[in-house]
Amino acid sequence: MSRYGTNCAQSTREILGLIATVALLPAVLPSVSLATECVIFVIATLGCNLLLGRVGLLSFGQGIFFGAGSYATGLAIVRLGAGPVFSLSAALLLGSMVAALIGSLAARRRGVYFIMLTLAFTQMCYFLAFGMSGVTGGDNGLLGVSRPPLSFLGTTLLPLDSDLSFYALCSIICVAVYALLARVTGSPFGAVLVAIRENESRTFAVGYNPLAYKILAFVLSGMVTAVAGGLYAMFLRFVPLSNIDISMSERILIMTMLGGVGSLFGGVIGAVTVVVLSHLLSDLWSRWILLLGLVLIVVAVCLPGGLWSALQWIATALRRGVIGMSPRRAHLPLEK
Amino acid sequence: MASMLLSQVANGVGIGIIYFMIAVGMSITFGMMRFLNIAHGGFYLLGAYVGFELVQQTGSFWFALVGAPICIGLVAWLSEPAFSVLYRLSHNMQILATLGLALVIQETVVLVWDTVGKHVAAPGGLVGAVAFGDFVYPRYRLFVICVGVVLAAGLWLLLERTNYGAVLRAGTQSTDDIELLGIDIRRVFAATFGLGAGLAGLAGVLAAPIRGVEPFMGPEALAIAFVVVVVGGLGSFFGALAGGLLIGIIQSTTSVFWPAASGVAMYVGMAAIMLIRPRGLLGRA
Amino acid sequence: MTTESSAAPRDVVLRVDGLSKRYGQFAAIKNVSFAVHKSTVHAFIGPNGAGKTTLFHCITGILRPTSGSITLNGSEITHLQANLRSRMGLGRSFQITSIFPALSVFENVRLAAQARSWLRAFDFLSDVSRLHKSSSKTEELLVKLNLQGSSGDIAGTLSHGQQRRLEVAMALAGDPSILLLDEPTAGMGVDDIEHMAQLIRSLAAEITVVLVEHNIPLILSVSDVVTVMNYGEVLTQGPPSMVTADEKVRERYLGAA
Repeated sequence: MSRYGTNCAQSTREILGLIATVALLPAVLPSVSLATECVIFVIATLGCNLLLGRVGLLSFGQGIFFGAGSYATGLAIVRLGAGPVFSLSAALLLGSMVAALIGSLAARRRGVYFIMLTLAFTQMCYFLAFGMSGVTGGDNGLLGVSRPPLSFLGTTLLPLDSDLSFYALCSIICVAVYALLARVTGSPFGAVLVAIRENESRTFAVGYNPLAYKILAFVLSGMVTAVAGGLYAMFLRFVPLSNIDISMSERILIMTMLGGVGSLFGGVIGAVTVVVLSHLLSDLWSRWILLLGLVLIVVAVCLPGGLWSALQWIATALRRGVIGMSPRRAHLPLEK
Repeated sequence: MASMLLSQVANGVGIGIIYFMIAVGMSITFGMMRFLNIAHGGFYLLGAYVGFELVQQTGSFWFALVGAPICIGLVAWLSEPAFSVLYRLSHNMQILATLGLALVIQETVVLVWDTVGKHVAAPGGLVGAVAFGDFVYPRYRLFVICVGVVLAAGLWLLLERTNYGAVLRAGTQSTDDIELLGIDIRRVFAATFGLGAGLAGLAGVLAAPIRGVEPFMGPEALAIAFVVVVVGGLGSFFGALAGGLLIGIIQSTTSVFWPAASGVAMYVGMAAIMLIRPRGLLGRA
Repeated sequence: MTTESSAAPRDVVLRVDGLSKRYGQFAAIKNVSFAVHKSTVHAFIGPNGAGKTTLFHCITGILRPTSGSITLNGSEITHLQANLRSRMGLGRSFQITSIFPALSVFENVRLAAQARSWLRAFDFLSDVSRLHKSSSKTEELLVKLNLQGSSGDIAGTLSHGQQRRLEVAMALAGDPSILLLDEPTAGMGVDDIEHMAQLIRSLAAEITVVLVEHNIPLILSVSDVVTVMNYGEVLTQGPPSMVTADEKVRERYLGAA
């Protein structure tokens, strides 16, 4: 029990930290919509982190799931006039199906081949979405996505038209997804995912089928990322073609890796940092991405654990500084 | 119908040779140094823009065709020592760093040349089409095929008949053995890195009159390079050639039978080949 | 051989019949047959390249044999995937140490124990610490392999001998009915070898052990049956005393070693 006790306590602490972050964001940031964008991309990085941080799979395919979720939600609202629960469930369903398909193809190959396959499939799905303009709106995007109210049996529970109420919905989903994935991380299933990352052939010899676990991890990741995509469609009130292109995959990967994959919380830091910086800097200098590129190079070379590892390092340094002064006092009564 | 199919196969060879040029540098770089360069599409992008600029300045496409690849190749060759910092990183961090570099290249291009796409005209002698009986074919595309065939033959001679080629072939198998022979693998690699970048740059110049020039063509080239390498096998010269040609032909023949699917065709082809032959056409492992 | 096994068919845990593995013209093993009996220690010896490891890989499912059949506890497993064989009670250790280097010693063994209840292993919502069965199994094995002191250590930081023992613990965690050990004492110090010999002897009381070894004294002291292989074929097999007396073996292997 005690062997894992610290893990449980840590994830509880992280969830409390996320709730605090989510509560503070609208107050600290210049607008609620910026906070909403942060929270949506936090969800997307959580999906990416499950694959990259746990299983060690660097997937350029996250844009596919994000885009699939966007289109599913958008179409459910535009074509069917569905409510948010149905539309987001549609995203969840389509995301998991697409992820199962892409995962079962790409996860057959390991290492760089896997990475290259996911990128190639992203480009394929981009062309698919571009070509199926009757359904997706092609280059113009899928227009007219509204934010239907959250209702039950005809009674409106939460109108989502106001920015704050939509933010509340996104935040609740974000915290729920975090709690779910923290749970998965500590589960027997999550333990096998880590084993695959550490030594795939040994995992196989011990009696697991790594491919099945990888595909399941893909499905879970695809579901989460697609929900983020669905929320993003409601947030933008339309679905641009860029929701499904390579740069969306890159964006999600950059946020995840900049934040660090050692912990799920790394993605929270990465997503908030990139979204807020892009908002602040793009007003000052439209080519700010150049700076982001330089930062990524520096992080890759000097800080492979990402911003999360830097924060942890500072935290331990501080703790040592504080405790470093007290132990003698603490031990005195015992020694007497 | 037959002549239409023939012209699409010819088109496919032309496109395929450009794909080969894009992919071969990335493939061999990985084969020798286990270094996955996401910024490789940036060489293609820079080639197209430097080519555009040289055409603007000198008015000669021929000068651009020779000058731009040499320029890109030299810059890559000279900057290779800076890349060596990345070789010891994990693959994931290599990808993060070169993804950053790709963004830096792309944004620099926008800073210098703006986001608006540019047009590069084919040189005067290559405008229009030639007719062989009832088979009509654009001159410029025919020229691309000729350049590609000459280039592939030249590269083959370089690989098979020179000392450099022997070291390079051995180097993609095992760098340790080469070092035991007392050959400085790093110098060979720097030259190969430059050569690969120059080829991607040449592909950029050659593609410019066909598809135009715009700042976001890097990721597209990267995706194509990945498809070619998955199909052909990583680290292999002939794999890149076979993969490039096959993908080019699949893409252009689909555009006859089902134009709407031509964008997706190469990826479907890739998935199919991967399921039938997981190691790629000529891949070892 | 045939008479022996037909006399007591229920007694046979692992049976290999006419097994061959070819790579083009080259045959790594040819027409190898043997039966391993319950609660015995069956050792394979032979010079390097004799086909012992290829044979092991065929039995554990890493390689597919070209022809022949493999039967485990009465059911044919010749074409079964490695992970399924493992679940059917076939445990193995690797010649080159293969562990989860970044995880704790405890977690290494626990993961192997968890694989036994494979449906549970797909459980993605409950906490690992609730899996009392695999945790207590792990504790028990760590004591058995004398690793209880390093339970919380990161596996990659262990000494070579400790890592070899960890391998065996992982193989035992799957509750195998038969355990295949590929050079379990390779690179071990004298004390560790003695400990391993004791362990193998004690294991034979409950399960069946098949091992490939180069350490002849160890083999002679722990084995019930020895199979000598040469150029991919079975040279001879029988009790250690019979094998050491065999002229062909003396000449080709023991004499050379």
